[in-house]
Amino acid sequence: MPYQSDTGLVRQRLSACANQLGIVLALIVVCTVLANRSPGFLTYANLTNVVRQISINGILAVGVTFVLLTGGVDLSLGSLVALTGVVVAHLAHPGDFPLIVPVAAGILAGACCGAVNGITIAWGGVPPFIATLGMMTVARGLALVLSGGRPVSNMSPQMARIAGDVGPIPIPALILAVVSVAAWWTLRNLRLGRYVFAVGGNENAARAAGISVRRVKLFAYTVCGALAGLAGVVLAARITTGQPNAGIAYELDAIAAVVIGGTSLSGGIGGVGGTVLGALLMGVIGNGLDLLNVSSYYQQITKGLIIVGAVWFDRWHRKQ
Amino acid sequence: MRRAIGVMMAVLVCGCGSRKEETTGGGERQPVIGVSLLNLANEFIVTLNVEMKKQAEESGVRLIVNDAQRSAERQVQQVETFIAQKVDAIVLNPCEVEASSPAVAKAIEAGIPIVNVNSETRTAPTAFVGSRDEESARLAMEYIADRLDGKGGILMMHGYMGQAAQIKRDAGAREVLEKHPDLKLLAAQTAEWDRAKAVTLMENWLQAHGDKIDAVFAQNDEMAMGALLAIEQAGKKDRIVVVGVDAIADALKAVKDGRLDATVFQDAAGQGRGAVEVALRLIRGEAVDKETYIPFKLVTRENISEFLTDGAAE
Amino acid sequence: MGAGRSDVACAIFGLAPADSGDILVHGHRVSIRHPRDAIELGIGMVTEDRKGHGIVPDMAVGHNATLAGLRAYCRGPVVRHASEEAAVAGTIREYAIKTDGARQAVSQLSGGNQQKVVIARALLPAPDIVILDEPTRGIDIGAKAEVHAIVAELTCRGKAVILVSSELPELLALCDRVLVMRQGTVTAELDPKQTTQAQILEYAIPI
Repeated sequence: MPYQSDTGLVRQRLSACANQLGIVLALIVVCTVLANRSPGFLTYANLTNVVRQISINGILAVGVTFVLLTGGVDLSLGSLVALTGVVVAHLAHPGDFPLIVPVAAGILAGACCGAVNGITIAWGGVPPFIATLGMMTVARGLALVLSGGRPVSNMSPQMARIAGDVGPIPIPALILAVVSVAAWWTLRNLRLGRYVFAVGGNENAARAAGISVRRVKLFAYTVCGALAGLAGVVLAARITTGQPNAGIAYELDAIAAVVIGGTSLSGGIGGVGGTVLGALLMGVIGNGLDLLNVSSYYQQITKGLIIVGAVWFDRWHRKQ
Repeated sequence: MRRAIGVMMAVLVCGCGSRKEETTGGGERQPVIGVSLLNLANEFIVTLNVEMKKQAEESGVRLIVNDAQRSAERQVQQVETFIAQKVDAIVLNPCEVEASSPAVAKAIEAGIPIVNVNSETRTAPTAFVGSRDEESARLAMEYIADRLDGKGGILMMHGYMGQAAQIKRDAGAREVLEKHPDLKLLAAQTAEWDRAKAVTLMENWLQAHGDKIDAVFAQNDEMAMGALLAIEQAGKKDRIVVVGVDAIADALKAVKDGRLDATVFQDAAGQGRGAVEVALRLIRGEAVDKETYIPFKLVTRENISEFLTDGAAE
Repeated sequence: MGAGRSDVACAIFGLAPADSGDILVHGHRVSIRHPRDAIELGIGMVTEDRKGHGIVPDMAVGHNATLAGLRAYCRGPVVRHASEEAAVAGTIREYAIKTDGARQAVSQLSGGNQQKVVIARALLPAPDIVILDEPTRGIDIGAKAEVHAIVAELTCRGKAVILVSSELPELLALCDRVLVMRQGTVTAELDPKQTTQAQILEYAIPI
């Protein structure tokens, strides 16, 4: 092959891995420091906790990865989590419906809201920031209306079980794993997945290549909404209620995880692997700071500094 | 077609007519009270609102209810609007001690009686109806001290740092801790009144402090329920006493089921109805107490039946 | 040059809306509202601006090349990587694209090689009609010659090529028919063998 140099290919592969270098490095550093300062950190029970605790943010982050890859943004995630949680809780009273009904309803409700976002943005031409900001407030309002301002309780034990363990593994973590693999596979192996990168990388070029940019965006926002719905299901199970106030600022944590993981805010670069790493890093930091009994003021400062630091390093390294 | 128009006109006339009746019932103008609430996305405030409306209906008063959605700025605007509308009195459920004070000052300047309900402001209102948050924490911690025979490790979950309720409940709890030197405060952290955050915090605390934990005091029931979930999942409920504040429906049920050890009943009915009553008396020019304190009540398995009828009625 | 040539080209390809007029392909009137319609009708286009409608900069060379014709390497909605990679390898050879590999980001290639990738993308679906808008603008002489060779090969194989260009020598050398536009209308149809650069300019420059 006269035009493919072997060293070039090796450099490519290393570069791709190294893109995650900043985050992996940060993860190792943080884990080492924590293991040192807190005896309870490196235990099986604690690490299982961490994985369980990042599941909800992780699922949201995987979903919003699709949106960010198209160059868009979704601010409505937290409100969707609340709305779908309320929907789920209403359908999950003991003896009402088989488990599949509330779960499917939650995911469907999320997907519908995501589709509305997609249509507003792709066909209405409304900037994603505004469209999803609108959905953020509408969905929150809907959640309050559907719940009368109070948590919807009396959840069946089977529903609550979704947040439990199967053997040694937390189910929410399993859900996150399945979702991550499915998302990674989609982006790599589905034509639509390729189109997501094209639309984010250069919308005009994508269009000139015959891609329906609108449909691709609709796909991205619908997937994001559906996964927000799934996150709402898991959260409702974890706190055994449907809370209209749940999920406040969840979208910021989700987007932070994605950006830390290397996905560019302008679209076209990134992926699911980095997102999961980003969610993991944030979860480990939060867990560690709790274990070390650091005051919540300093927790916020630390979290923010580490996030900015990881992304700064990543951008600097990319320029090399 | 003509019939349809006739029906529509009849409906319109009835509609207008009933509104007129509201304001002229019995020949005397119906008193109007403007209410600005902290946040209708909060269960306790929802109950407060419901009780105020009931009292207003019974007393023949009209309420205009606004939701400040946790913004002190919006609250001040709402009070200004009430003043412009020339309401007869204002009931204020303050967002913040400092930032909501201008609202109170403006009402007093305009000569409109203003009653603070549930929380305080730095500027003194015409009257205050509420409860002493320190008392709720004291009741909870005394119960814990009792259960632990004055000895053991305690964790405290705070609400939003800096909110009046958080500050006072913290103060009340620490008072009791000082009286019992063998009660050790292992850690205190905020879970921001949020059940989900409380689950995560409790999971991490169980990791960090393990068997040293004998009791958890959460400054509200949402957080207590969250802590409870984590403790139950870890199978440690028989070793740890959990107490919350508010007596929301979920908590009452949990006490009845023997899951939650105790909660503290904050009398939303007492506060809400009390505030409307006081406002009405001020409108009529009658004498009122400057401060009316509605007592908290400790709720445990022993006396749960008293409260369940209230809870079930919501 | 503001004559409206690119507008017409984009309208034919579905990249821009047409105000009026008809498009006939093989004698049949067709409706083209999106580049996808054009591609399905066997029309391919290389636009004037490489960076605007051309390359997806952070995407691999190979993925850029197959973007317009990805369906051919799919089974249903799933991409078959092996067949795609084979096609890409062949394409890189065929157009002599200088790159470190199919996976290199296309933004790292020289302008001339980027243009070749865009041309490859347009030609991979094997269109019968190819529109090239200023394909040799801003690229080095070597690449320019290669582009001319590609055009010649296309016409040799019986494909229809619409070349939009401001380089008169290029037009006279490559084309069988020259349409001159001025301010949105066609002002002349000339035979390049019997025309000079000066004549073309006469019809092109606004009065």
